[in-house]
Amino acid sequence: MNANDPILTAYALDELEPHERAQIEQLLHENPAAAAEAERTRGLARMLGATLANEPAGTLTPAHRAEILKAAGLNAEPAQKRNIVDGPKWWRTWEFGATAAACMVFGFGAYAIFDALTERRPKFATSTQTPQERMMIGVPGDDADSRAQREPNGANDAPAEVAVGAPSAAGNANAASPVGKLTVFSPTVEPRVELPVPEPGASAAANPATVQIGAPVAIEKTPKGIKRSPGKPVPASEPYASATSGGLMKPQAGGNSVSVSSAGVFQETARQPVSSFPIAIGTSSYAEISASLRKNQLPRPENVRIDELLNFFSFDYHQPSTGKPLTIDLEAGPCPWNAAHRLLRIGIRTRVGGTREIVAEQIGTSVEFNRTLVASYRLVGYEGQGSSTAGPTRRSLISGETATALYEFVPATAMFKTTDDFATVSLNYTQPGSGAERSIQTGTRDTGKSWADCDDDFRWAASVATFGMLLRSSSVDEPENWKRLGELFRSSSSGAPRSDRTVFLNFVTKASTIATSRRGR
Amino acid sequence: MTLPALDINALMDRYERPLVRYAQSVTGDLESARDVVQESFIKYVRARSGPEQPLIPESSEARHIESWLFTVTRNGALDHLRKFSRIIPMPIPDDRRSEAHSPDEDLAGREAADWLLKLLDELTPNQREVIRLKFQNDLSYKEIADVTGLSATNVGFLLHVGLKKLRDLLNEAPKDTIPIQFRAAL
Repeated sequence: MNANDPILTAYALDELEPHERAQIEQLLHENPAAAAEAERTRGLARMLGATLANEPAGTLTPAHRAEILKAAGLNAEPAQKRNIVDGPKWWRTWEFGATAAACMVFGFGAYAIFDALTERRPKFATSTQTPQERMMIGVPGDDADSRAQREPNGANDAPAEVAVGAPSAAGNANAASPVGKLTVFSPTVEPRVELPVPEPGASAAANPATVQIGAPVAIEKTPKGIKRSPGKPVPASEPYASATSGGLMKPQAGGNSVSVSSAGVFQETARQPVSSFPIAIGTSSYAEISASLRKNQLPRPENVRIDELLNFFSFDYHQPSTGKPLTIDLEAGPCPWNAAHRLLRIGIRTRVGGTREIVAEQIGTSVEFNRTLVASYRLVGYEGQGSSTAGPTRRSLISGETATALYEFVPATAMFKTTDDFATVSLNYTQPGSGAERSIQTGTRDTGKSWADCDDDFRWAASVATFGMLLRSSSVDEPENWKRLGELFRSSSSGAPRSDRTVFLNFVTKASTIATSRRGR
Repeated sequence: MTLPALDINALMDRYERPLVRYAQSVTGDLESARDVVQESFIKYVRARSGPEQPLIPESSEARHIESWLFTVTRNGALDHLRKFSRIIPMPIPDDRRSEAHSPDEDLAGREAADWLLKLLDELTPNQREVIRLKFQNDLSYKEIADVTGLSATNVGFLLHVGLKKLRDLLNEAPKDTIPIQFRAAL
């Protein structure tokens, strides 16, 4: 296939009929150059969509509107008098999307919008809910009414079940958790304060801080309900161990089931302390989400790739010191969707040169977790294996680029504070031109930072990941989750407004409108 | 062709900005764009039939009317241009922002948009138009074909060539002038 064929552009823009699409995907599989071309076209399309949306657009004047209404035989009604809240759904979508960004600019954040949205919706009534995967987002520092009593969950006989703590709202059901019911946890607590002290004799699953989440969980949504099955651990020999889709069930051919793996694959540090993560990945998931939301639909869970969302954004990581092309910037902080876990944010930044040039090639990455401090971990994202990721993985970085990876880890002790490095990140690379091999290495302690202690970039990355987790979970229509997500984003945007983030906040607001109104039906 | 009758206030709220912006990209000024769009909506209320329905976004009726409104607006704007082309200057960058403010813009986003629009000026008018209809208004090849009167194949070709040219322009631009949003697309 010729990389300069218009059909490739049509493919990248999702304009092909299913049978044509399948043919092209087959061809792309054999032609990495064409696949990379399609990926670049998607990237450009995404940028065009996001940027052209910022072009000012005028409105009609009241006089113009009055003329139109007159032609329609209607009386002119001042636009501002129309009731936004009680208006049709599309109006709310439109208005709130716009207001969210405006609030960002003026420093109010999305809080008010999310609040307004969720208050119009029924609060979630856990007692009437059918068993299903539940995701609850915790807002660190949240108030007492949403905090949960954390009860040991020792009578857990489902080997693949992840039941780490029980939110009080859902709690009793969880304590007597029948097989087939999954609670992807999370009480909204300040982790350092609320973590229960391990009780002697309690089973591993009873203790959130030492729980062995060795068995990954895959959830298959079917029209009849949700099935869940233990996934397969990823062979350590595979590249990006813990990054591949070992726990993911592929969509059934011909069926309309979708796969969701919100828990991903946790690796036990004792068995596999070393992990690897890609440094240059596509961002097509962003475009897929954008396209779905523009059609007033939620994206399909398998199209939501958290790794790609994260790498859509640029971050203010530390600059490399003089003479170094790369720097590693690490930070550990709370995990919004599981208060018993922590997140390690790995940021890589290249030096900003005057010209666009490759500053490091053949980059290899590794993270080594300290066995005594970390019980298990997983690389956040990489759950999906969508066709959009066709193409070779780039292993070089150009000047000015950043790369971001998030690990979710389970501390080995109840304390989220370490005096030694709990993780060490190494990068090996060759210098362009000379071909000389170099490596840099950075370790980090977990200083027990709270959400508020972490910097904006950490909070933004964690919020974006939470958004992805929520879109991939079956609890996507829980108004409470969107409200909390709004609070997360609000607390992640204290700095100067950045256009890419402002545009993204529109997506989040729109997704929350679609998701919560879907629930109302 | 009959047009379903959808709530006119809802339609105006939903489409006035996309239509005014599109018309302005053809006429070059906001005032005439408003007049053109007003005329489009008036044509719509005269052409519709049946009892009034609420607007359901993405329903086939809404998509149909969207294409119809863009088509009528395009024709109106081109008519306007033909009538007044001797006295109305070509679009200038300042005209684009004029008094129109999109609520979801911020400074960086606007600067990026301005930068991109300058780049788009390097493309042919029909390449520029299909790029706007596709990426700013999210119309499909088929819908763009309906609006412009081109074939869908032709639309696909124009987009393909337009995007390629745009990428070449991005690659030629001095790195430090490229807004950060676009660097990833290189």
